[in-house]
Amino acid sequence: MRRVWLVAARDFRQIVATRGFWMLLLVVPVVIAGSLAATQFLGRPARGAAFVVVDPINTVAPTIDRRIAEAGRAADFVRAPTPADAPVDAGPEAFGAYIQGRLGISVGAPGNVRPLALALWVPKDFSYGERARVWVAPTADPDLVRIVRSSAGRAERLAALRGAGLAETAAERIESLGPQVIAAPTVAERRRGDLVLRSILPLALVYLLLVAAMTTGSMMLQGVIEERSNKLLEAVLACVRPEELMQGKLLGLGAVGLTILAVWVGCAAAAVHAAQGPAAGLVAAALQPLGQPWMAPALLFYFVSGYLIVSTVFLAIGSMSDTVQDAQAYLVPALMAIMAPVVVMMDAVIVDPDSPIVRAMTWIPPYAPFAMLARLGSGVPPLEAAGSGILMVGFIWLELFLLGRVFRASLLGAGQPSPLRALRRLMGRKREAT
Amino acid sequence: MAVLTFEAVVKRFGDFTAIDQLSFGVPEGGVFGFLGANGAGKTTSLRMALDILRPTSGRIEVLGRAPGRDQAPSIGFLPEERGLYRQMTVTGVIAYFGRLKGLSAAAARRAAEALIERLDLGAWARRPVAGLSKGMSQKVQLATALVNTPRLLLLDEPFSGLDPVNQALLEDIIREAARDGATVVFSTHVMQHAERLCDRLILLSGGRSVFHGTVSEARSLLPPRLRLTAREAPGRLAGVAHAAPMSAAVDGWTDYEVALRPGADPGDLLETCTANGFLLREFQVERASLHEVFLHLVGGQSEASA
Repeated sequence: MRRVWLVAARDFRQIVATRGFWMLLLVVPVVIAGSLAATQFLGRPARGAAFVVVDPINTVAPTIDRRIAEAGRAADFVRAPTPADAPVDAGPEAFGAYIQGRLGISVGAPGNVRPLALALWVPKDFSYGERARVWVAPTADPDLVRIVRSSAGRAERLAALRGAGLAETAAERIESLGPQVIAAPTVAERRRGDLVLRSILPLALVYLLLVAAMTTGSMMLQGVIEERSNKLLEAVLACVRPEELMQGKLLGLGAVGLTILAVWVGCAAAAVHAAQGPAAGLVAAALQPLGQPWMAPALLFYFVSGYLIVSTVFLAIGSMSDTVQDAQAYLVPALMAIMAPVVVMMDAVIVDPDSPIVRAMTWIPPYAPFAMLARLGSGVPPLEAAGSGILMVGFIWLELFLLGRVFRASLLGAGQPSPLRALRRLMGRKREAT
Repeated sequence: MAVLTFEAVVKRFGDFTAIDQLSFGVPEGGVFGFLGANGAGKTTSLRMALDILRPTSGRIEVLGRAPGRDQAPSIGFLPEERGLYRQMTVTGVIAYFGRLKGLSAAAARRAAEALIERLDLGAWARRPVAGLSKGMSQKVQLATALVNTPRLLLLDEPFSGLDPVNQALLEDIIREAARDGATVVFSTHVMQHAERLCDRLILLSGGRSVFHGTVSEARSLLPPRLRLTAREAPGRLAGVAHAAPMSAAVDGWTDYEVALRPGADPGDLLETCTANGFLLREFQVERASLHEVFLHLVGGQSEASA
């Protein structure tokens, strides 16, 4: 085991010393930081907006100010003083003609200068059938328009109710009437919502597993090919058994994969914590399944199992190839064979975690870790989980055993046609013969 | 005690028999040569001794046990195909092989630093291997074989690719290792190195042993060449098979190339000449070189370089 650790530590250090590793490691934190910065930058009004209210008897303006404050937009929407030369007493048409020429143009407002987004003209008395009028710039914030329109409409309705002889309190009560809307999902919808929420973390791990295994798998493949082409294997194999070399590589490069994963997950968690808001609430809800004591070990078990299964494929191809180009020709079909069913399965899990395809994949070892990870959120019967786990461990053992044989048979074949090339030639001959 | 024993070892790759009923023993101490043309089975034999390959049949013992990685702490190995981890530093890669052979981290680093000093690699100690010349890389590779001060040092074509200065350095290192008690086994198809270094040797041809013994015994396989300068033709003397004049007589003296009968000793011939008053001006014995023995035994199959 000591030699396995030595090989693992060397491979880990070698990968960590490369620029590619650091670029890969930092790409997710940089993207997260960039997204946060962009969100904050885009979410903040650049200059805010100003609006003007002509309200001779102060009927609507206080309501608008109050509602803006209640909406938390007081810093964004600022009421500017009516321009001194505005014909406020000449009727709405004259005021409209005047103010339309000024919409979108910056006006002086308390705090700073902002573009004029909206103007409201309120008549002195609604009882003569006169109505309030609003002029809006095309770029006006919809929230501001909604607040101003609803405030003016309320004042008009109150005036109409009072005009009909209702007392002030009755008018206020009638004006505020309306049905109370309560969102009431069906039982099935509620179940599905819960399921999706609980499945967020396991499904995210499936994606991370794919990314981590593919990324570190290609590093592993290049490392093995480099050792073959550098002709140093014979010296190493004089001290280390092929199986130990293989296990060390899986361990070392597995540690690279888990390191990358830990940093990515850590950064995502830190970002959510820093961001607060709805995203943080969603993630907190998604992390709730971790409260169950068996969940974290189960997630780790299936993640590591999946990682081993995929990495072993890369390692086998690397040990049988002379060049990266040689290996790539065989990687595409191998990766398709792994990824295509997993992608199909992921879709099926979202629709129905107990669908036949998902249940079937639970019992096919190369796909079992992905299927089990994806199903963990919806709950898996203990017997099924145990059976699939035992099958998976057996399959990994078999895979490692066979990979050891492949290592022993192929590593010293450097300089001779690679087993893959020999296989290709053999297939070519067979085709010619038929 | 034999540190390396092969008993009726056979190794087949498919239909091809690389090693065929090979039996020999390497005694402890000294330098043992593994000689043979390209493809004779030298590298395959060394790989089997290291358990990198397994024999098809027969028995191999290394340091008294079956080959295996547990013996790695006692063995140093320099493969014919040289390669190193190019991104590691010189010290790092030597120490890494020391660790693989069971040394502690501190001991491996100390041993690496001592070898770097010994092999004059001090200026490159902290540099990556990728920046070294081919000769420097070969020295580093040699250091990886020596880092554990092995009891048994296996060197596969160690002189291949080395310039004359580094060949001399390597010869010194081999002698030094043997003097310090290690058994050195090295394969080569360059007979001069074997002649200078080996106490005993085995000569392989087509995977079979065609000779096993000391260098002196090997050279005795061919009769020595004898040159003498005499007034009379030596053809009638006892033990002489054939004598041919090499040049015309000068002042009555003629140079002869003399071939002795099988088993005849040049010393006996000289004694006969002296006892019988056969006048001689020069009597020069030249024993067969290992190269000649090699060509004689391996013949047309040889691709050996001189």
